[in-house]
Amino acid sequence: MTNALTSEKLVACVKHLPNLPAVATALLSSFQDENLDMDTLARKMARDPALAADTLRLANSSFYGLSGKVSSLGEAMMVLGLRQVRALVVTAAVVRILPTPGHYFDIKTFWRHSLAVALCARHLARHGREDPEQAYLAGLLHDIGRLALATCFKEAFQQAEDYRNRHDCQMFEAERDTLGLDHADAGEAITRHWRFPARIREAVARHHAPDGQEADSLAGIVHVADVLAHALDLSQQENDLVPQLSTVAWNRLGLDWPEIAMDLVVVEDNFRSMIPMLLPEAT
Amino acid sequence: MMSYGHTGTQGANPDDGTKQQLPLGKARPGMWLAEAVLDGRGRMLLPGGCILSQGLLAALARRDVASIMVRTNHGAPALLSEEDKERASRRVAYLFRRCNGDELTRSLAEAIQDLRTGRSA
Repeated sequence: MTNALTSEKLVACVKHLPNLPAVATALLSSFQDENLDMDTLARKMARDPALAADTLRLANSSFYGLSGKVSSLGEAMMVLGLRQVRALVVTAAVVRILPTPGHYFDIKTFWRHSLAVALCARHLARHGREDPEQAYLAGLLHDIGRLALATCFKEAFQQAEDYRNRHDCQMFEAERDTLGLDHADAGEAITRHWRFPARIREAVARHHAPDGQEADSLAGIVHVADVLAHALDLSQQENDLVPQLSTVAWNRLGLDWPEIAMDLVVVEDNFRSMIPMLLPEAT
Repeated sequence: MMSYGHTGTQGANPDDGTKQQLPLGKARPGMWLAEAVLDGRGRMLLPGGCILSQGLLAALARRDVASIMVRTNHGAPALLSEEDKERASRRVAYLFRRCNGDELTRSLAEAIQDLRTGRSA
């Protein structure tokens, strides 16, 4: 293990990543605040017109059934509701500010997979009676640690990728074997640095090991969503590999195959509508 | 489109622009849904353009959907070609290449095979 990373190196790494826009941070901390009102959100958004424009583009994706129909965030909130707009603002903020590590990192595949997991998690949360928008954000960010590792530790990241390709194993296994920690550890560090809600942090940190978490943890939902997204093959990664599905996490959702099949077809439809809005230059 | 034979709801489509309504009992795996199926509250159950599978037909029957609109080709319901089924089947088998020992993950592989090809592995 020539490139072993320590948690101290990880923390130092994430401190060099860009900060989330202030409005996104404020919105994240408002997840516990049921009284957040539309005027407050609109005032916060007015301070960041570029972010407001990106959010509107997402809101106008055909996924939301509004193609070309809303011209202001106020209208979007009227039609979609505050909670969905809040998730869209954070989505736009994260995609905009995070760096693209370099040619050695396939950023298009990364965001395609992340969006697929987010949409699967949103559907699964509805079955599990969890907050769909928190599940969506946890899904969107579940692999954010991969981006951090690739940005801060280029050589170590490439060594892990080579190992993964040679052994045809899961990326987290390659990272543990070559670096001593994995992207879930890095994701925990970055979501802590960005002050994400504890439930989202936990889901990011434990999406490959959800069995020990509480029954209402989002980690199980994101784990199942991750497996389903790989199975749907939406990332377009040629050597993609479906991870093993946790029986504990699956049983907690209480789904059967016909039900999940219907969800998956709807997720694919959502994905095709939303991906051109999220990554217009990469589709 | 992907270069390695993905056959999702946007796979090769032998559609000649016509469609017909079929009682659900006459619909078969591998047919193409021509229009979205909505529930009683107007919420989309399935989008138009998807390939029908055993699992999807079972889920529609469970919701008491009486009939659906399918795409037709030369007057008969259009069907996914055997070539597309084979390509999709090989891709699913490749994606699940490391899951042979796990029963639950194998069940997921079978559900995805059904979704992509209208038949179990």
